[in-house]
Amino acid sequence: MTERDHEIGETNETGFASAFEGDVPVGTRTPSAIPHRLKGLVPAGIAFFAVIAVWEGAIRLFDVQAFVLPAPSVIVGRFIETSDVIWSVGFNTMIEALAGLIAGTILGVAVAFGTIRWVPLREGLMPFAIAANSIPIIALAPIANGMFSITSPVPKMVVVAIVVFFPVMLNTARGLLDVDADEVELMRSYAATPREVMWRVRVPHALPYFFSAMKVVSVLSITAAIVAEYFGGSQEVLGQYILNRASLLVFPDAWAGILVASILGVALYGFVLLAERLVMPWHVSFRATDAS
Amino acid sequence: MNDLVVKADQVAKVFGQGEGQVVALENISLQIERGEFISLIGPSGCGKSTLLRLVGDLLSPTSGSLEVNGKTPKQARLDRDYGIVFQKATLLDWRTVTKNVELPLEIMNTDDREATISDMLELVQLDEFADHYPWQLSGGMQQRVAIARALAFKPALLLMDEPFGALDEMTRELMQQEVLRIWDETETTIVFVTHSIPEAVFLSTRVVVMSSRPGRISDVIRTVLPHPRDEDTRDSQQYYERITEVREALRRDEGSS
Amino acid sequence: MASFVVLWEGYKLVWNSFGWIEPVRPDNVVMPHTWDMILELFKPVRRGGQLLIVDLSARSFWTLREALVGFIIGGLIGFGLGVLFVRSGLAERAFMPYVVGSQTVPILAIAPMVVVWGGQLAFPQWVSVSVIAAYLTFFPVAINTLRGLRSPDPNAIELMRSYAAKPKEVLWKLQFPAALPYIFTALKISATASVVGALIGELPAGFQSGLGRALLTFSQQFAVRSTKLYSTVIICAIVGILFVGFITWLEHRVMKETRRVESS
Repeated sequence: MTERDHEIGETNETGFASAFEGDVPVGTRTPSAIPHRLKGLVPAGIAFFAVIAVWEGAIRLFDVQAFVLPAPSVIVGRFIETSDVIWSVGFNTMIEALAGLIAGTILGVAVAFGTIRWVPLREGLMPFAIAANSIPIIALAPIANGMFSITSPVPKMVVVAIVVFFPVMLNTARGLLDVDADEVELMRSYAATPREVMWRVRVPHALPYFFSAMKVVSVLSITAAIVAEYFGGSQEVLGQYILNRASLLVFPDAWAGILVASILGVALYGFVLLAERLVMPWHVSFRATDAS
Repeated sequence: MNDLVVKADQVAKVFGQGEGQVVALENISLQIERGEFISLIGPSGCGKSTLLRLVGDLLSPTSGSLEVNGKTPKQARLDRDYGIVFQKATLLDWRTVTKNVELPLEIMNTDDREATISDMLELVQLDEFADHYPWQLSGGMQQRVAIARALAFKPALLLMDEPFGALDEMTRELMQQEVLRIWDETETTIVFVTHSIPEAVFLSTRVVVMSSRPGRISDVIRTVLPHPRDEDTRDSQQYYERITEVREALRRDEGSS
Repeated sequence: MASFVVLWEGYKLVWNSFGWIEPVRPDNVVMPHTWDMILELFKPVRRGGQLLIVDLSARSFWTLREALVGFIIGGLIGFGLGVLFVRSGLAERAFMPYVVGSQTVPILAIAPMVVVWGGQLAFPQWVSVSVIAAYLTFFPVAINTLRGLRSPDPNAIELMRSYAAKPKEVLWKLQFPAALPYIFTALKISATASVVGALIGELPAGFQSGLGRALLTFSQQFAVRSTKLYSTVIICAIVGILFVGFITWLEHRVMKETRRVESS
């Protein structure tokens, strides 16, 4: 086997950064992945606060009107002042998002398992899934509103579930399917039942794919719920709140609502990360480039 | 004094620093004359591929002096004095065989490419497949395209890193024959990294035996087999004697390291 | 497609014969017959107005235009970022957190607000919507471009070094062709996202054009004539499929006989 030791960060005389940045030669690899990552966040964190500071300063300096761009201080102010309202509507939206997330995930995983068991299902479903990926799912929101009562949270949950279903189903199916033929043959040589093959080989292999999808859809679920709410319904939800405030040109309040949405999204994402850490302690995927 | 294509003097290569550092090569001194066929053979970790890359200026030595074609390796690379063939053919999927062979010529802005390309394809006997795509060719054929590509700009030196490692035994023997024929026709100097003792002996004029931990040259054995080499050579007494000699050289180091 | 129609009509049939009403009532308002949905297209939008299909076609062009402008701009920005990050590790470390962080802002949720805000700043609606579409596009394209540009075999990179190839040559001859499959995958996702962004951007009151507005209006007329909404949704779906289909066609043209490196 050829040893191929690449130098880190090596640039040739033409200044082209080495394609192997990040490749560490065997023997010099240190297990410092996590502290290194936190260190990486510090400059980003500093820069974030810097942006906020500049934003605030510019508003004050140029006396920008609130309807053009509200200052962070104003937004935070309104966020605190209206907190009982925005958190209560936020809660309702969170329920919709969570219900849809859970339903869509369960369904997605179930169908993914199904495609492994029954090949015709896989064949039939794939073109459908590809087409479905092309259609703007959000257009189904008004239909869902019509089918189920517009004022109930159910149509929003349905929309979220649909939005969540496809990425979860596709990614999980891919993870379950993509195993090395060798591994499956090995299990067969042990006269393992299909179920054992599934659980010992396919499921562990699929977990990173699954979590990759979950990271995407957890944040997406909040957005989907809010957008679904834009098509009408109960006023006691975040989407309607934001829309109303924006239409009345009371932007700071609307931004405060957005802030709540972001916080909720990050919270869900955090849960997924936690779950991932618990379920797969051996494989912490921190590559940002792995968004599905 | 003979024309030296490669002159290495006490070359060493160390990766990393401090406690975790790896000494890939040390005390490498070697002289390769024009027209030779040199094999580098040794166990995993002996640094043979690293040495090849030092010659090609794909890595830089940590210490020692290295001259390629009478220049620094870097200058030799900038002057395009060598061609390289890897274990995987590394053809570009989206180019036809012809366009793949043309790649270096495009970069070097050579004139009269068509003629050169067809000459090269004839040399490796793939002229009929000029418009095929890599995925349409077998492993052996892909490697032949890689060789054609490496020689397209007529370099003085050809570096080969276990080029036949991924091929089956029969194809391998055919390719060995091919390489010898090409070596004969083009008079290029070849440095060849391999795992296989028979292959090293069959192809080379000299076999450089390396050992690991740390990587160094432990022996250089002249094959002293007549040219041209063919199937009969594989049956000859001297062939087997050389193989035994190389094998023992390798065993000696295993015991001592 | 056919199976969907079968499922729909089948549901109506079965549910009706048993008199079930959960979870979805199978009457002709909530679940019109599929053929009625198609027929509705050829009826006037309102008394004496144009045919629905004509009206929706005009709206489709409007929406598609907004989506397209944003898509192209976002695509170029994303591609540029990908190239920048591959050339400069420094740029990647500095800006990647922001690129990733940009996605924590739920731009779709903000869309109507951006449009209203843009209106206040005297930007025409389509500009704000294009900005939204661009925002949605640039991230997947940037990430995938970066991944694709990095995808070639280390051997191939060494090969280019052995030719003393200039970085620009390595980019165009090796990395860019290798990145194409990845880029097209991202473009397909972004195409749909751009359309969605455009639709949402059309929702705020005060804007009359586009498919999004039609969705909202017909949604309010659901009880009276639900088929209009269904027909509109079908048109939306078709717009999405056409856009993605166009990208796919483009992909096949560009990549011809070469075997796909990675299936989407």
